[in-house]
Amino acid sequence: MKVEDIIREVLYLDETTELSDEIGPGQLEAWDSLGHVNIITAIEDEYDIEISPEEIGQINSIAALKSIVQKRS
Amino acid sequence: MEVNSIVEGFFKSSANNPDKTAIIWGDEKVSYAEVSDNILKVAGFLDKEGVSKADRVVFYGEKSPLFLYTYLAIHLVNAIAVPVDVKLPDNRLADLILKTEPLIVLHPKDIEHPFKQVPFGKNLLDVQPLKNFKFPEKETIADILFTTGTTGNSKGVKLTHENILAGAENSNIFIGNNSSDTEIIPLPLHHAFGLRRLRTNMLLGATVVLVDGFVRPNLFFDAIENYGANGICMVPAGFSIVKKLMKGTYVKHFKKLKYIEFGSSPMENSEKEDLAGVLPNTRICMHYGLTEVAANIFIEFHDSKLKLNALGKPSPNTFVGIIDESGAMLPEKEVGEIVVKGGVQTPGYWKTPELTNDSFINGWFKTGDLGYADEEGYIFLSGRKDDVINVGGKKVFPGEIEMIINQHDLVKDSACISVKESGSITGESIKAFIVPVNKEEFDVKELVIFLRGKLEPYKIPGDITFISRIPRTSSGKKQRDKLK
Repeated sequence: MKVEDIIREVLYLDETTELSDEIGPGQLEAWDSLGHVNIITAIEDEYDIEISPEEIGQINSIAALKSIVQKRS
Repeated sequence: MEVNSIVEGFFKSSANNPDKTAIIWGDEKVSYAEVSDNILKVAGFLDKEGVSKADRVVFYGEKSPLFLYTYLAIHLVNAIAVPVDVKLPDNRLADLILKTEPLIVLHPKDIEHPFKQVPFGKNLLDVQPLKNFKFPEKETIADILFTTGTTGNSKGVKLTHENILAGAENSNIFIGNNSSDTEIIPLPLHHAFGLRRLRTNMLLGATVVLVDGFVRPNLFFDAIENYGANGICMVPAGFSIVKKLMKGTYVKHFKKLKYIEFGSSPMENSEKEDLAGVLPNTRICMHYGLTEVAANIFIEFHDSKLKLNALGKPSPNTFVGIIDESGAMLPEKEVGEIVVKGGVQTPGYWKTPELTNDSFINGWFKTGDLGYADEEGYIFLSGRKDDVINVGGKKVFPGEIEMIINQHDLVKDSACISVKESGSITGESIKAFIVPVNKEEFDVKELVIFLRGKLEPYKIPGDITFISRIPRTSSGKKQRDKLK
């Protein structure tokens, strides 16, 4: 599953919500801190990776999240 | 420092130490002198708009230095501050504006209402600073803070300058804050807890580092390492997020903290013990509080390690009692309603005298929580008189969510309950039981999208289950207990 699809599923977003690479935590109503934890957990489960605290500190956009997933998978 | 208001205390701190940093927000550092100048500019703007004593000013509760300037400027012109949640859906914002009848609304969104509105932004600073002013008197109303009510309607809690001063002073005494402290505030500023911490630090002449929530806890660590932050205020749900995201790495940074203030929702005992163990030199304080009576009970995890399941003891200068249905004080160990008296006590609710009347008895404020006191004066929580759900520190009444769910075309009836989840981030979550018009046609995701925009995000149920009928008493009252 693509990173955007996981985010869409976890946050219950409809198809009209645009998920561009620049969007990050806090920029969508549903992407609050709890939503963020749920996204990280879902990504870790889906790709069978563990995102480190240092990497989590860098996640300020979908692009950053994708780059971590790409490096780790 | 003998003052009658937080704003007066702030200007005294500023006169004593003008170059000191008051507030840090991202890369922006603002000194006490600069904050004072900006407060006078926003006050000049408000004065030009004709805002004066007892006028309400509804403003956007954005986390930024501008929030602080605006909040204290409103007090400086003797008006009443009504900060609102930035995530408040439009219909609820409009309702709140109509209820408070403000002289002006400072908000970036175009909302339909009959009052003057200007954007909340740098435009508030493009005016001549106010030159002549008189600090507010203690007994005048400073703020109206909105909290959820049992019927689904929000209620406006009036707080006087005396109330907010007492809230700041009492927590300072308990925690031991002083002007050399630097505190991280990740909490929203429109909310009673975050706002009290902001006021408290500004009254002391301390420094605050504003951080936008708990999404990037590494920013807390940066504040500790780069700015020497030595205090933080958090809700247990926020701390769970820090632990979940940053794993054990938080300990080496948090060890440098002089104090943490937790509040707004319960924390499991094992978690309190663990935290006290890994942070032996940090004063770990937790309050029990309500917007109406601030933080009125405190506990410190090391000092009370044998009573960690208690709420704590009454805050300095605050009285807490346990009463029966008739209002009579109960002896130790007997369960009754927790009542509070003291300088923190609200004079009542905005324009709802019957609600105010129902909330007081013999001069005590009724919290709606049930509890008891032990022989050492510790207060313990036993439950609630109503069905309130505490989602990570934010109180939600089921009736409010059900009212919105029932507006959906495919819903016949609904009931919401609290689900307590050991080890979960928010402690409690909301479960909705739905009686659908047609189960086959019902799309849960579509309902969640329907609720978004009508309810704040934390009020949207995390679990939605179908049921054939909602249990009710013979008089039609929902029996939510039967769904647990």
